[in-house]
Amino acid sequence: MMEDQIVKIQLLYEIAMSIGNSLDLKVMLKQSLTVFLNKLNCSAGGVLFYRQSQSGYKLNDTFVIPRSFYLNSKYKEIERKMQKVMGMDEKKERLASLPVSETNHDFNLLIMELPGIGFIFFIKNNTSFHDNLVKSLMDPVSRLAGACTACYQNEELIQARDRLEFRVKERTQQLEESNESLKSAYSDLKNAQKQLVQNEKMVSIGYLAAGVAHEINNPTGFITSNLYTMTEYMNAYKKLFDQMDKLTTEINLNNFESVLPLINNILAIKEEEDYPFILNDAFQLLEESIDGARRIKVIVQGLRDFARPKNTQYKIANFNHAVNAALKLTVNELKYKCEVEKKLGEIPDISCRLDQLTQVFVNLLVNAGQAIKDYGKIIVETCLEGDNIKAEICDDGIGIEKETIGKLFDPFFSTKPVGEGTGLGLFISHGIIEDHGGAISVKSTIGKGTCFTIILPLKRDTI
Amino acid sequence: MLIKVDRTKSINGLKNCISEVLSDKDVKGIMILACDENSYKVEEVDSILKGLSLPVFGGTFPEIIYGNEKLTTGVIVAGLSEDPEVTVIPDLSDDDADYEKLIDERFSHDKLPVTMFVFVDGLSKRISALIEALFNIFGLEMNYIGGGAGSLSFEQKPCLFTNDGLLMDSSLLVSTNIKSGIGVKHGWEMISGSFTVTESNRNEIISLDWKPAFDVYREVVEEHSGKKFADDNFFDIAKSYPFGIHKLDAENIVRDPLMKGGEKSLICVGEVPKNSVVDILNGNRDSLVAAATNAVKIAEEVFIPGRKSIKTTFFIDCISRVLFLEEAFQDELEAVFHPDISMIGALTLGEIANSGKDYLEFYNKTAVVGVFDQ
Repeated sequence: MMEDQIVKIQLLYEIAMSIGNSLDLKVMLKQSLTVFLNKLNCSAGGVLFYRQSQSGYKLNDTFVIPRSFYLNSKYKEIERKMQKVMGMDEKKERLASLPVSETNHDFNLLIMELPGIGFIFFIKNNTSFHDNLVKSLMDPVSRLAGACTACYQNEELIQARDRLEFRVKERTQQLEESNESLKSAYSDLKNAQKQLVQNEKMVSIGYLAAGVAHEINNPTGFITSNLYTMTEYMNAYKKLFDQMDKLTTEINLNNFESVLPLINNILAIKEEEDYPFILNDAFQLLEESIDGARRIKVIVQGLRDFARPKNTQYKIANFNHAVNAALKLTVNELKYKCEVEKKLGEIPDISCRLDQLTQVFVNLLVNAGQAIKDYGKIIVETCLEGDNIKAEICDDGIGIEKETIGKLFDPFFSTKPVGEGTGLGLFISHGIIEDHGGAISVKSTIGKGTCFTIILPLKRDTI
Repeated sequence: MLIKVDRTKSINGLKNCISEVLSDKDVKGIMILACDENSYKVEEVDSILKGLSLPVFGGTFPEIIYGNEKLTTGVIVAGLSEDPEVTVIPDLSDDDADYEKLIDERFSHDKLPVTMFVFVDGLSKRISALIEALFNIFGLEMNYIGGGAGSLSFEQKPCLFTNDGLLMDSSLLVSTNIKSGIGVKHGWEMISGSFTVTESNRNEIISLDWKPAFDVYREVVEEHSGKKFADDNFFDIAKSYPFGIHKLDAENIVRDPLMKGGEKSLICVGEVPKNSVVDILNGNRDSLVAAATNAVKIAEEVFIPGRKSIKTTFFIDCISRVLFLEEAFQDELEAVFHPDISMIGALTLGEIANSGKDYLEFYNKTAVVGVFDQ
């Protein structure tokens, strides 16, 4: 008898140890209930979960092992019994009706309260549930109720976590969306900047157009003049060729009496015009015209290259090329105003957008030219200084007032009369140099001139 | 049940038995119980099984039972007059397998069977998980009877007969409408205990009451048997001293210690859950034979059609009882055998049944008797 008691205590210990090994309600119940049923040698068991509502207690959920027991009429009977118990008005009355321990002809039923949760039931087919066993089960059953509550609380925590995660996800999505719109705005801004750069380029071209037109006019003038002269030369030759043609025809017709007058005509024409000179001069005129046309082509090509919008990728190139290109573009504008002294040092190639740097230099050269009132000098200098390329454009023009210098790189700031400047040239130049990881600065003395300095790093920070 | 037997190892013996059973037009399904000693070639058996048009199930076992004889070679082929439905559950050693899910997927639930034969590869590692899944789904709404197939060499190999050939590491759930009564008894008695399994890993008991399992076991067994464990005699002594896992109002579930594991653990046939309370058991010829007799009695008592309707006794007995009883095993066979009732069965690596109305279990060293109405 004593041994039986010890065994029972040990079994209850084993059952108790199986409880609460998971915080997932269904997993925990499956593990625990399986041990309950195995150790108590039960054929079925389960938990009926009740929740209090305004209309009283209602069956909220069930967990039964084996699953086939749901189809058993005994299960329906258990549900009915418990609904009746939960329908009682007084809690005292309810508690007094528990536990239910019934012995039927082919099965034994035990229903116990699972405090705060609902009920637990067990079915045994062979032996009945003795009072002592029922009392002994109260502790593990109460422990199971505690474990169920812990699972519920865990479930609530999981739900709270899920809600939090959902909100975080929602916020993250909002942030991502605003990030996207910022990206889009940034992209728009970049495009606008690109457009601005292009526009400013066109402004430069507009400004350069007068000089360019003048420069094109010169060759165009002498090409036109040459063509007129060539027309006269061609008429002279036509006259001679007409007589020679007639002479050839008469000879062919054997009209020898007509030949002599024709020869005399030809000799007279040759006397009238200096054909050796015409021939020699015609070749000179053609050579001169071809050269003039080539000059026009070069000027137009330079402008076109400068004006054409480019998909400006960073490429390895030499900064001096940008300086030379800018000098070529502005030569027509500057050559009547100043002497340009070029001191280009040996500098290594860098990763850059050459056309944009050209644009900067065009802008600075045009500004320098405009600062010179009569005839002056511009010095363009490049050199390597440590890990940087340094470029300077200095003029001996009128200089910039101190209070103006600080605003030079501001957008829409211009010292030029309204309608002559956009106020964006230096702003854009500043942006281009900054994009290259460099810096642009200016020093000026009224009456002595202005010096712009550009510093470009040999290695651009790509971040 | 139409029963044919061949006592030879020959594959032709199997073929002939099958042909004879199939010649009866009332036969709707075939159960094969074969001896491992036959050493059938898998390809030859596969070719026979795959050619069968009727459902087939069964296994190769260390020995088989025919009448009041145990056969170490040969085969029994039984023709069932009702159509059995065979469900194969694979991967019986897979740690990640969810057997409830697998059974749900593969088993037709239209109508629950009356009796389910459960044959498993006895050397698979998760037999208890399968049994638990069976109980969790079907409960005791039917009778279960079966056991572990395989070889006493403990080398895992194809051992289950199916229409897809011989399978290993699997289980067969065979649904039939055979009316049955099941009795389960082992007859092993407690000599010492109780001990709490403080550490275990499936079928390996690592510690008992926080002491190395082997140390605890050796102390009790050496004192009781008067024998000393040496490097080569573990099973010779241990076959008489199994563990018993406690249950309330039911016989202990026997677990057979097979060998000593590393770190003084004990490897058993079948799982021993952590926190289980176990005893060390011992038995003798009388207690074991009496248990077999009781198993028959229980089976007959719970057989609803009544004793007179019993046509076949299906005896699933543990091979380790043969090893323990030796010649006296014949007494156990006689105790179960009735001259008027045909008897077939197998000596298995673990037994599966629900004892009358008790919880479904995977047993060791236990006599399981099923009485059938056909």
